[in-house]
Amino acid sequence: MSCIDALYIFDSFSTTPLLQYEWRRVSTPPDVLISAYNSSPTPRSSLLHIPTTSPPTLLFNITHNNLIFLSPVTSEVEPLLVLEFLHKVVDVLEDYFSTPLLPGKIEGNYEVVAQLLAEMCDDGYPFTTEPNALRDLVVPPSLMGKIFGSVTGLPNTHLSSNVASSSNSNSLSAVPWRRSNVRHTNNELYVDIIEVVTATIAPSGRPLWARASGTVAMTSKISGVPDLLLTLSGAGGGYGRTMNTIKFPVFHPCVRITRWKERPGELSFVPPDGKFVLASYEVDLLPNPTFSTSSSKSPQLHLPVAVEIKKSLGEYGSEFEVRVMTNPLPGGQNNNSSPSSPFPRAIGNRGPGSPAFGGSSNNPAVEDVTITIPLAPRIKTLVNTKTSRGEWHYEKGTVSWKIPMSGGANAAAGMATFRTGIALKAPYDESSDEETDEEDGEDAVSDSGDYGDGSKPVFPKVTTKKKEEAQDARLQRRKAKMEAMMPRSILVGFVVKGWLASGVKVDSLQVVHGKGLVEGVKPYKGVKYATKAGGVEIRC
Amino acid sequence: MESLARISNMLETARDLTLEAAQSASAAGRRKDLLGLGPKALTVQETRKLLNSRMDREVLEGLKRVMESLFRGSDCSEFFPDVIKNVASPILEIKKLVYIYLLRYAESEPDLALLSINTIQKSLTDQNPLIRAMAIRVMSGIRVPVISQIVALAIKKCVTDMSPYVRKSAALAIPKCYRLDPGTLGLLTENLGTLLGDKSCFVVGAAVMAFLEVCPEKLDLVHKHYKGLCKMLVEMDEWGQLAVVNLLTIYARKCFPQVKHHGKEGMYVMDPDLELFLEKCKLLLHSRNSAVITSIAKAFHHLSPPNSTTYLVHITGPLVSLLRCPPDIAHMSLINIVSISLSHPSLFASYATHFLIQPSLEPSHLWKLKMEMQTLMFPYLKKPLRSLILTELEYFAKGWDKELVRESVRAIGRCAQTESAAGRERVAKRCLGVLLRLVTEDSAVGGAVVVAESLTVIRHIIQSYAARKQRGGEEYANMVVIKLARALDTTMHPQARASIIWLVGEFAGGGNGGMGNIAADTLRILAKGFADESESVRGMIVLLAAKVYVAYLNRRKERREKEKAARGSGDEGSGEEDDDDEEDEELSTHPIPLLYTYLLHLLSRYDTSYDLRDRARLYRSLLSDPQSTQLASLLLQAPKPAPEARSPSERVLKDGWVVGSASLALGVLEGEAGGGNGGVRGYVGLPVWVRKGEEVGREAREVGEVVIGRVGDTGGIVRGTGVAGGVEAVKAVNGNGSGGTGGGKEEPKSLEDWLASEGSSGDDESEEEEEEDGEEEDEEGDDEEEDDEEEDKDKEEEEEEEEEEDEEEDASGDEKTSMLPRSSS
Repeated sequence: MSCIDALYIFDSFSTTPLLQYEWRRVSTPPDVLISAYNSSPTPRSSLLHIPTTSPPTLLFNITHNNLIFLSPVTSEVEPLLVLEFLHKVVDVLEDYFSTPLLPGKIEGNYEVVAQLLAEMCDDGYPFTTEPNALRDLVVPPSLMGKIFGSVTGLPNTHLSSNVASSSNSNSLSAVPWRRSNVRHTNNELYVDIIEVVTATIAPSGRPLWARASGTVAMTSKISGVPDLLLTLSGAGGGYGRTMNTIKFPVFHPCVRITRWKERPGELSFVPPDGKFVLASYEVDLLPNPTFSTSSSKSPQLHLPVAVEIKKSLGEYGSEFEVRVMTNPLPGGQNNNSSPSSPFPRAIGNRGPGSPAFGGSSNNPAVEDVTITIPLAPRIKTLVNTKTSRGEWHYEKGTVSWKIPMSGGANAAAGMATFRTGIALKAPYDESSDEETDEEDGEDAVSDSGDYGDGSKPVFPKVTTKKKEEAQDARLQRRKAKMEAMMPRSILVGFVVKGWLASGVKVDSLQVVHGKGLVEGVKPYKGVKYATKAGGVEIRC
Repeated sequence: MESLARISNMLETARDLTLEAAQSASAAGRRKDLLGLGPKALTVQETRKLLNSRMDREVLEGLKRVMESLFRGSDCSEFFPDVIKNVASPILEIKKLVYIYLLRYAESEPDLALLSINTIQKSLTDQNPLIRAMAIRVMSGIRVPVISQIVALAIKKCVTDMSPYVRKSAALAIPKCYRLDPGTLGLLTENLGTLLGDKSCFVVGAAVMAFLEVCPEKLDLVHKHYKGLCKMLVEMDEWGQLAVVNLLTIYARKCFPQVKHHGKEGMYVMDPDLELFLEKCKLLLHSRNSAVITSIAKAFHHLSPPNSTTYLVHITGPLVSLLRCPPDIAHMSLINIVSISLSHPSLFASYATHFLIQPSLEPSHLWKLKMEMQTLMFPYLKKPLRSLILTELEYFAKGWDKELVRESVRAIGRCAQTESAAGRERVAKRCLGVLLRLVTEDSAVGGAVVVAESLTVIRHIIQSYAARKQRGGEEYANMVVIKLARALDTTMHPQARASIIWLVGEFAGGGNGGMGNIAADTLRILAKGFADESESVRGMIVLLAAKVYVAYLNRRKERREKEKAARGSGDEGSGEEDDDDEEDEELSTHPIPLLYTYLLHLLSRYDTSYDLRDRARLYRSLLSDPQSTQLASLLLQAPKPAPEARSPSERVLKDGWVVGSASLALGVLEGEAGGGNGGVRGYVGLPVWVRKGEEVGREAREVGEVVIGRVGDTGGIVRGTGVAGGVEAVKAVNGNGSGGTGGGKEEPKSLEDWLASEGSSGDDESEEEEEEDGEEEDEEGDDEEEDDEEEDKDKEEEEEEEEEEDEEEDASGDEKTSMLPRSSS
C-alpha cells in the first residue's frame, strides 16, 4: 500500500531545504534529492525516478510560487495520490497563511506548519486534509499570536485551554468539511466564476477547437450551518440547456450529486467556511463541430481579441506584422448587473487578498492583452521593430508584447500593430548554437532553394503571398529561407472581467435553511465573473 | 479540479501579489529586528532556559525555536530532555509540538523516550478525544520496539473509543505497531476486523488503509464487511475512497470468477455483489480527487469482462476532464488514459479534440502522450477528424522543434497503418502524400530531421504496401518510388538521397516489366555524378548497381531458359556455344552490364573509401560467376518483412502494469527502464481471477451487513447520492429542514451531544489500564507481508521488431540499410 515518506520544501534559489518533514524513516538526504531534481532535464516530469539511491527513489515534485515541493517515495504508490496530497498541502498552507505562499511565511510559522503536516498525514497516509477540519485542530497563526502574544504570562493557560476546549469538543464537527461553531458578524457570500479559455485557430481563422474550463470558487462567511442552493444556467437559460453546456462537472464533496442529476444546474450544499472551490466544469465553445473543410459556415467563436498576421513582408520577406483588435463582446452577459439580476453588484467591501474586479463598470473590459510570438531558434535579433502601442521585449526566442487596454472595450482604441524584421544567425553559428545536433550537415538542406513549387499549403494562407518572378535566384532563396523562419503561431493572452466565454450565469443563490443563522439576517451576496485566456493559439 | 491555490493566483492580479510579497518580506524582517530573535540569535543555553521556563509562553517560544532548527534540518537532539519535560503540559499546542519532536528523536534516545511513555499513556484516558488521538498516534509512532505490547493494548482500547477521530487514529496506528513488532499481528488483525465494521465511514477508510498494509491477503476479514464497504464508499473522504476501491479491486479478483461472455452481443452475467461495487464506483465519478477517478478507472479496467466497455465508457469523460488539472496531474492521467486506450483504442474517440496539442504551451511529455492518443484512436475517428489530425501533424512536421518534427512524422506513419477496412487505402495515400511533400519540399527548418524521419516512415509504408500484394498495393508502391526517384534531382541531403536510392533499388530493382528500367535509369543518372556524392550515397549507388545487375542477370537467365525450352523441343544439346557467344556479345553491348562494369570496375575501384572498395569487390566476385547468380539474388533481393511502427507506449501494455500505478507511469516515462522489470519496489500486480468454482460463496458476504444511513452518526448531514441509505438520509435531512423552522423537533444527535452525554462514561471505562492477557496470543504470522506474484516478463520478445528486421537485412548483405535513419531511441 502506498505511503508518502517525507516532504521537503525548497526555495527555488537555494539548495538547503526551507522545511523538511519526515513521516517515515528516509534514507536519502534531501540534498541528494534536490540535486537530482535540479539535474533532471526541463520540462520536468512530476515523477522522477532516481535509480542511484538505495533503495531507488520515486521523487514527486510540484512547484508553486518559486517553492519546490519534493516528496520521495521508495515503494509502489499511486502517483496521483502523492500529487493530490502535495496540492492539498499547498492549498492548506495558503489557507492558513493567505495567498501568496512565500518562503517567509513558512519560516515565520514553523510551529504551525509542523502541526499541520502532522495532522495532514499520519505515518505516510493522508489523514485530515480538509482545510476546515484542520482549522478545528490547528490554531491559525493569527489566533495563536493573540493568545501568546500578550505580555502577561499568567492568563495564557486559561485562554489557551479555552481555545483548546472550544476546538476539541468539535474536533469532529457534524459536517466533515465545515468547521464547527462558525460565527461571523457580517454574513457574506461571494461566488467567483473563472473560465480559462483554450483554443486553436487555424490560419484561415477557423477555430479548430475551443474550450472553456470553468471553476466556481466561493467565499462563504455565514454563521451556523447554512444550507445553500446555487443555480447556474447556460447561455440560453434553463436547466436542460445547462446540462448540455456544462460538461464533466466535478464537485466539492459538499455538493449533493443527486440533486444535480435530477435538476442539472442546481448545486445544493452545506458550504465549508471561507474560501473554497465548489465545482469545476468544462464547456465546449464550438458546440457543433463540423470539421469538413468544405463547410461554408465555420463555427463561431467569440473571443474578445482578434489577431491578424501578415508574414514575409518587406524587400527580403524578412518582416512580419501582427495586428490586434479587441472585439466587442457578445451581449447577453452585460445585463448581469441590471436590476433584474438577483444580486446587487458587489463593490468593494472585500477584505484584502480578495479578488478585485472592476465591479463598477457595466461593460466587461478586456485587460492584460499579451501577445506571445515564439520565434525560430535560428533568429538572432529583431530589426526595425515598430509598435503602435504597448511595450515588447524579446527573450529566449519569444517576443512578448503587452498592450495596455485603456478605454475599455472600445473597438477603435483597441487596435494595435507590431511589425518587425528578423535577422538570422550566421550559418556557421548554427551547429554550435543548437541544443541537440544529432544530424550533421543540415545547412546543406536549409540552403536548398525551390521551396514550395507545386505544393499546396495545407492551411489556406491568410495573406496571399505572391511569388514574384524574381530573376535573382539568391533573393528567391533568401526569401524562402526567411519564409521558413516566420513565426508559426501566436499566443494570445487576455483577461476579461465581468464576462464568461461560455455564457454560464449564476441565476440565484439562496440560503435554503440556515441552522444557527439568526432569523431575518440576509447575507450579503456577490457574484463575479472573469475569463482568462489559458492557451489561445493562432496558427500562421 | 483546479486547486484553490491556482485559482487564487488567477484571481489576484500580479501587482497585488508582488505588493503582498514585498510587504510580508519587510514584515518578516521587521519582526526579526524587533525581537532580536533571528534563528541564529539564540544560543543553546537560552533555548534551554526557555524550554525549562515556568511560563507557557516562553516554553512555547523555546519549542518554536527548536522546531525551526528541526525543520531546517539541523540536529536538535541535545534538547531532548528539556523538550520531553514538557510532555505533560496541559496546553495543547505545547503538547503537540513536544510530540512532533518526540517522534523525530525517540529512536535515538530510546531510554529517555520511555520515560515519557507513562505520561502519554495517561493521556489515553483524557476526556478530550483530540488528546487521546494524539496519544495513540505518538505512542505507536515512537520506534522503540520494547513498547510494542503497550501499544497493542492501547490500540485495543482505542478501537472501542467513543470518538471516531480516536478510532481513526487507532486504525492508522495498527501498521506502525505491526512494523514495531510483527508478533502482535494476531491481536492487530482482530482489532482491524472490528474497525472494518465500524459505523463511521472515516474510521473504515483508515482501517482499510491499515488492512492493505498489514495483511492484504486476509480477505476472510473482508467478506462480511464487503457490502458495508460498498455502501459506505460514497460517504468517505477521498483518501478512504481510494483505499477502499483498491481493496475491493483486489477482493473482486480473488473472490469472483471472471465474467465471461455469453452469446454474441456481449451479454454477460455478473455476480450481483461485484455489480454492486462497480455501481457504487459510478457514484464517485464527480469526485474532485484525480486519484479517486483513476482508481475507479483501474477497477473498471481490470474488473470488467474482456472486451467489454460497459463500465469503461462511464469513466472516459471524468478521465478526460482530468486534463484540465494542473500539468503534473494531467500528465499522470494521460499516462493512464494511454494505457487504457492501448487495449480499448476506440474508447476515447468521442473526445478526440481534447487530445489536440499546443506544443508552444505544453511541456513535451504532455504533447507526446497526446499525440500518441491521436494515433491510437485515429482508425476509429470519422473522416473530418482524421483529416484534421493529419493536417495538424503535417503542420507540426514543418516546425522548428526537432523533437516535435520527429514525433509528428512518426505519428503520421502510425496513422498510415490504420487497419480499419473502410478508407484504408485512402488514409495511407494521404499520409504518403503528406510525407512526400515533406521530403520534396525540403523547406522546413527541421530539414534533415524531417527528411530522414519521413523517409524511414515512407519505407515502412511502402514495404507494408508491397507486402500486401493486393488491390494494386504494389503498383502504388512503385508509383511512389518513381516519385521519389524524381525527387533525387532536388533532394540534397545525403542521408535522404541514400534512403531514396535504397528504396529505388529495393522496389524498382526487381525488374518486372518497366520498373527495371526506372532503377537502371536512376543508376545511369547517378553514375554521372558519382564522384561528387558523399560516401553513404556512393555506397548506395554501388548497391543499386549490384541489384540492377542481378535483376538483369535473372531476366536473361529466364529468357534463355525459355528459349532453351522452345528450342529444346526441336533439337537438344546443340547450340549452347551459340548462346554463349550471344551472351557475351550482349554483355558487352547492353547498357546495364555496361553501367555495372563502369561503376564497379572503374568508379568504386578507385574510391577513397576502403570500405566501399571492399564492398564493390564483394559484389564483383559474387556476380562474376554465373553459377552464383542465384546466391547473389538471394542475397540482394531477400524479401524484407514489412515493419510495423509501434505506438511508443505499447510495450507497457505487454507488461500489464496496473492502471494508476507508479510502475506504469515509469514504464511510459522511461521506456525500457521502467524502474526495472519487476516494476517499482513493492509493486504487486492484481491477483489473477479466481477460478470458477473456487470462489467464496455468496453467503459469506451476507452475514453482518452493516446498517448505514443512521443519520445520527454523521450528525445529520448526509450527501444525497442515490444510495438506498443515502436517499433515506436525504429525506431525513429534508424533514429536518422543515422541522428546523417549525421549532427543531427531532434534532438528530450531533457529535457534540454524543460527547456531552458520553464523555463521563468514557472516563470510567478507561480506567482498566493494565490488561496483561493479550500478550500471549500472537506468534502466528511473521512473514506474511509479501506474496509477490512475480510476473515473468519475457524479456526476449521485447525487442523491437525493427531490430529484428535490421538484423535480417544485415544478414542479407544489405549492410547499408542500417544507415537509413532510425530513431535514436
